[in-house]
Amino acid sequence: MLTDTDPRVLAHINLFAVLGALPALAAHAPEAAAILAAVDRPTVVRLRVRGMAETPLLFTDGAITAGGAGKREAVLLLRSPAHLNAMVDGAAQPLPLTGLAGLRFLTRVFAPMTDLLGRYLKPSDEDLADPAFRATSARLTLHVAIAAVAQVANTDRSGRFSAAHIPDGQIGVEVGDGIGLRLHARDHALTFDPAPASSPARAALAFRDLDVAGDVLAGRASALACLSDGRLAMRGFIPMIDNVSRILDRVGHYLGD
Amino acid sequence: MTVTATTPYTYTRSREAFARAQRVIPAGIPGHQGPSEGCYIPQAAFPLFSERAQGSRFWDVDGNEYLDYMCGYGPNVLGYADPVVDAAARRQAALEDVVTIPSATMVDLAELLVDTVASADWAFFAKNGGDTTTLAVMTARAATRRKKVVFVKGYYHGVAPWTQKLDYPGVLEEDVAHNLMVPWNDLAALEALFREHRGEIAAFISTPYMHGDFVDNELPAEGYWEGVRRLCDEHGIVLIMDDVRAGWRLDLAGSDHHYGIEADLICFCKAIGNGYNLAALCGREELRETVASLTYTGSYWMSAVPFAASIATITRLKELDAPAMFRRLGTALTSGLVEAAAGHGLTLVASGEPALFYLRLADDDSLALHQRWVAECVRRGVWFTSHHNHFLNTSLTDADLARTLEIADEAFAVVAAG
Repeated sequence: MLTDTDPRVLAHINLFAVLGALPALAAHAPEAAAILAAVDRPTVVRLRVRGMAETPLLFTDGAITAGGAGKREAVLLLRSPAHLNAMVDGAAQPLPLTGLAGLRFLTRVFAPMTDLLGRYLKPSDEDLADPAFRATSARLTLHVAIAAVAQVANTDRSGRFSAAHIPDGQIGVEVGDGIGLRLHARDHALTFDPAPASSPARAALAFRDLDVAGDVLAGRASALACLSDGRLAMRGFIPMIDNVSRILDRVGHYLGD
Repeated sequence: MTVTATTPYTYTRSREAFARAQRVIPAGIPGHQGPSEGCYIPQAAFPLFSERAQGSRFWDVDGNEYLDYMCGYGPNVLGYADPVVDAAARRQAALEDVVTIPSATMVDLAELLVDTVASADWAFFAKNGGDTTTLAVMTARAATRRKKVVFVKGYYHGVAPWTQKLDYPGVLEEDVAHNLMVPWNDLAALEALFREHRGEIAAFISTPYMHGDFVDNELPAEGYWEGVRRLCDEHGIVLIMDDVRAGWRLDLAGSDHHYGIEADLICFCKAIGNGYNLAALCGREELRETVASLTYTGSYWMSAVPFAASIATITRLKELDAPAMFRRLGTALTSGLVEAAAGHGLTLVASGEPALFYLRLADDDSLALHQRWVAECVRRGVWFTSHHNHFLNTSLTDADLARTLEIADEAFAVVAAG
């Protein structure tokens, strides 16, 4: 157990897992449609962080997708991974490189969407009282957490140690009968895949429902206790689950309060 | 005696007890005897609490009967509630157990261990296997004034922080900073590591063969242990054999003796007292004064009842030639299981020593099929596990083996049906 964290790893989590959840937010949060209605033409937001791969997100009326090309481009420049982390924390602003229309897009669409994402990922007690909000919050939290597992597995010292013990294959993360996320392990590197399963996973971790997933990921319930009483189940090649669980614990060091 | 194989068990009272446990015990049942580390997959197929045990069987709190091939994860070597061992324990309990000064029964047991274990010139007692592996490493470090310890990949030597890994919660990087790894059976890698860290390595610690979880168990290659012994001698490294799991089942003179060498230190627990709580580190004369110099003790480490039970256990194991019995029983059982699986078009792999056989259905690479088969066995009264090697005890009969094969065959049929 490492007791410190690495700002560069946190930046990878923020860029690829947290902001990487914007497409899922657009797909699942009912409030997103009204915000995205303000998109007057397809716009690509490029997050450019010194020392990290550039991440483009394409905003259209009603959806956000990773990558792609748009008729308008807005570049958000961040001086360093620490600058990105501060931006995600709300403690710093990016340097926008775009025209007036692009600036309008950033203030009217991009910023409200990231604010909405923050509301779902750090929900208030009042919001959690709404079952629909709670379910979407849990779904997005799961998406961010599993995407973050891949980032930590590939960039964090403890995460890489755990990933070194994961053989090749797919690790499924399931919630009830309806939600399935995947991690692909190859040569001890992990890739996050939010697409539905195309073949049986070599190992799977299955939450009974979104409430259990939300409670475990938010630290309101112990994963071990849930495994013990069946709210959380595992099957398949258990060392894969065991090591993903260790990485998930490490994700908590970065994203926990 | 037997149950109807076609009626899977239910666990109402186990679940009720577990609900109580969850309110007062973290995770309900923490550790390897709980549903998480115990790999109860699916959880609903397994009972959670036992009520009584006799011979090769235990009964859960719902009254379901199991032929038990885990033997309490090893301690049950003569059969649960063995009358000879229990009588010895009762006689000692009537005299004394935990007192201000130890019983001379401790000396009797130490003499028996020194007479029985080929590499032992002395014995030091504790309670759990991890007490002895920790003591062994401390001894090696004190004797050599070196920091590093070489482990075999996939190792398990207890739960003390030094035995865990960088990514385990509660374990500091400093706790494992001096741990080095080599692959099992790889003398060239071991030699290279010893050369790379010449003068820095205190100990090489290993089980007698690779009986790791979730993988086929591997016996030592021809000449492996002799090579390890030679390299340790050349580099002044203490050779620690962790015989906690395999001890008293392969060779009563120690598993190092079984594989043709003498370790410098050898760790025992599990089967040493047929369930009475005891562990022992035995070692060579050269390390006697070093061990004596360490600060290492515990409140119950000199309780007399387990000493008496252990004397009775070891004496009985000798009378029965238990290792030979285990080889015969284990070979017959695993051969029968492999044949039964094949009858359903399934490929069962049995690996490791027959006394501690490991099983794996090899028809998929996920162990999911194997987990289904184990669950179907447990629900019908045969306690196998999907992740760990198994253990035999001397009370097993040929009728028990036959019954096991019947139930296993039915479970294979369920799995093969999809």
